[in-house]
Amino acid sequence: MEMDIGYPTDVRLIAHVTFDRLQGFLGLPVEFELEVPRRVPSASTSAFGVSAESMQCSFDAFGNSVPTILLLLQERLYEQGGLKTEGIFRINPDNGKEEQLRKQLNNGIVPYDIDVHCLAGLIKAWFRELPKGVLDILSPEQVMECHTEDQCFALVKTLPPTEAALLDWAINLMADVVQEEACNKMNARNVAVVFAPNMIQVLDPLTALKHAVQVMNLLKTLILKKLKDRKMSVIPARVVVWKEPLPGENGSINSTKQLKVVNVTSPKGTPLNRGNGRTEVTETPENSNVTKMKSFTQAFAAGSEMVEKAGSVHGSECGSFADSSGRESRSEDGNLLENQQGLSGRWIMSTASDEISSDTVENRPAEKSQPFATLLRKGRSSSTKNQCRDDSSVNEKGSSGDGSRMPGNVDPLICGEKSHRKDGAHVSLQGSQKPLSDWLHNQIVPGIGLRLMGEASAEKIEKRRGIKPSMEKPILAESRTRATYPLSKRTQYLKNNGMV
Amino acid sequence: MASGPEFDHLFKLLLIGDSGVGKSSLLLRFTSDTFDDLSPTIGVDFKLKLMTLRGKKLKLTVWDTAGQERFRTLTSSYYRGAQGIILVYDVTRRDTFTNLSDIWLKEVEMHSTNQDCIKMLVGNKVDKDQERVVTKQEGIAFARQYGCLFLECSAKTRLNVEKCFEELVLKILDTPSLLRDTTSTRKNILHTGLQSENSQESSSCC
Repeated sequence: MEMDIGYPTDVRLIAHVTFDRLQGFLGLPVEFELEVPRRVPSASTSAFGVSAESMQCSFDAFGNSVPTILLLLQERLYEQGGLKTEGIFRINPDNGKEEQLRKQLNNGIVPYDIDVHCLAGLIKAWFRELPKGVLDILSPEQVMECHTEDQCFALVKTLPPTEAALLDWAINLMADVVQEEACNKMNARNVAVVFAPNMIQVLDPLTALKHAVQVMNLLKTLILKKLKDRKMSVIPARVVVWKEPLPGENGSINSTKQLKVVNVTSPKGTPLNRGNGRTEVTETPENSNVTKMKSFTQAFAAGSEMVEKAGSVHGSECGSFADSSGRESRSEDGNLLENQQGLSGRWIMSTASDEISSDTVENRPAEKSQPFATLLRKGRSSSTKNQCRDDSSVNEKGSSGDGSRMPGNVDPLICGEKSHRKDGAHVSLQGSQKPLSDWLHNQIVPGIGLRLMGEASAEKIEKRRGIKPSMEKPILAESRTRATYPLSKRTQYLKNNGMV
Repeated sequence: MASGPEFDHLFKLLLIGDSGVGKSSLLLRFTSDTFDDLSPTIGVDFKLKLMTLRGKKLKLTVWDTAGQERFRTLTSSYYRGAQGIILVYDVTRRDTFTNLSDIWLKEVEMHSTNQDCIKMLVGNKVDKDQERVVTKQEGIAFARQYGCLFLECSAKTRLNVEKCFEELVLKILDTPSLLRDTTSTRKNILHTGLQSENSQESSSCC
């Protein structure tokens, strides 16, 4: 006997909800918003096994739009010294721990005390579990025919934008690993071997092995090319990245302050410090560990003009990472800053904390004589406020009368918040002044990332975002912050409507 | 027939365990008596070794599998027909030890076709005594719980490497059900009583 099922009645369009890869859900009625802001940057309930197209994406330091989850994992991996860990990406994570972390990630929590092999394992797992392998589009024959660097490069250029961005991000990650080969024993071949099988779907066991070997060779070539390109584009400017480890996170690193001088690279290889002469490398204190921070928390370079015009670069919007309680979670975002007066480069700022204040050095006479003494930093407190402090508020709170925050002058605000800090990083381009390193050593400044983008990269970003590149019209502080859902919003709504 | 068969028994042994525990190093030490910093294994590798035990000529094919997660689906097809499985962990990394019961023993159960196949638990890297986190007692307890043989060894210093394989092979020799199909092909065919193939076989023998 057949049963008739009636048509739905009283159908109304309540809302049209879309999922935007950069903004998350758009048009979602407030009652459907999640009580706890979730970090799962995905249209699905899982951050794994979902195609990159349906994931929320952010830009990495090189302008690749990749799923935010990967950037999160990468950031945490770098923060915890994963790049220097022996056998990173080769060693399997503990099965139980990995499962637990997956659950947490899917619930929007990014805990702090994760094993680095777990983070690395999940990055590999993310690629492995994609519905379609990143390099599946390339046929085994195509890959087989690639022998030279140029051939490999030409081949990967044929990848669609999503896959190309993912691959470029992964190659950068692998290159970062290989750069620490002395510590982690992972050379280009080793890294390529462990990544290769995750970039393709294994169908037929017989051909899969052969294909995996070829993909491995392709990856190896691309990694070596990336490393070569990095070397080529090193410019004299230096960046000091100073990092304060997370208090209480790990006893062994808690007491060490880390300072690293990073070469800033320009995509075009053009010297950016057109200022007066050379910059100096800050000495790494003997008792400090060297931390390399890339992508998220990084690279900052400027010429003397930057300092002189620094006043025009305003404090920008903030983005945040989930803090340890998991309550506050927001998208990592990059803020595009451009000097009003038209520096040739553009500034992409990636932030890593609840609050950010990016305050550039005021045009004080003392600093004018030290042209590279631009300082950018940002504060992080235990508060869950999302607002950004602007420069003035920082000055009020944090600085002594003349607003000086320079070497030797420890910012009281920053110090006062020491106990609340999750992490800290300080980026500074420095000239020849000696006290900066001392100052850095005394400072507790949380993570900041600044990266100078070449025009090409900036255009690339704008192009991907559908913005017409326009060099005349400087973008002051363009935020890529995802709309966040304050905790109280839904509660407020429910209250207003008598639902609570 | 004068030279006799090439070997009395042909055994298939399998090395499994997490990435980086030293499976390939163990095998390299056993077959070539060398030690080197090795790259991760791609898929599966295998090596041959002839040895004589209890007056019997034994031909060992040792399959060295990749520890990488992605290859698990692929390596599982190599469990078939193995008489001995060596489960390797790194005594300096507890994860490799816990993953044996969480992952690798389950793989063995699922894919192994020999019910009686001998499992051997091997704790590698005992040369790094300062960094040791898994004690010998824990290894023994694990072996007892899951019915495995147990040894601790070091591919770097050669300690117990040969012994690992010998003990495993001796145990296989003591298990009649595992010896059934291990003799050279001639006997196999005779056993199955396929007269037609018998003539072919004898020609190949000469």
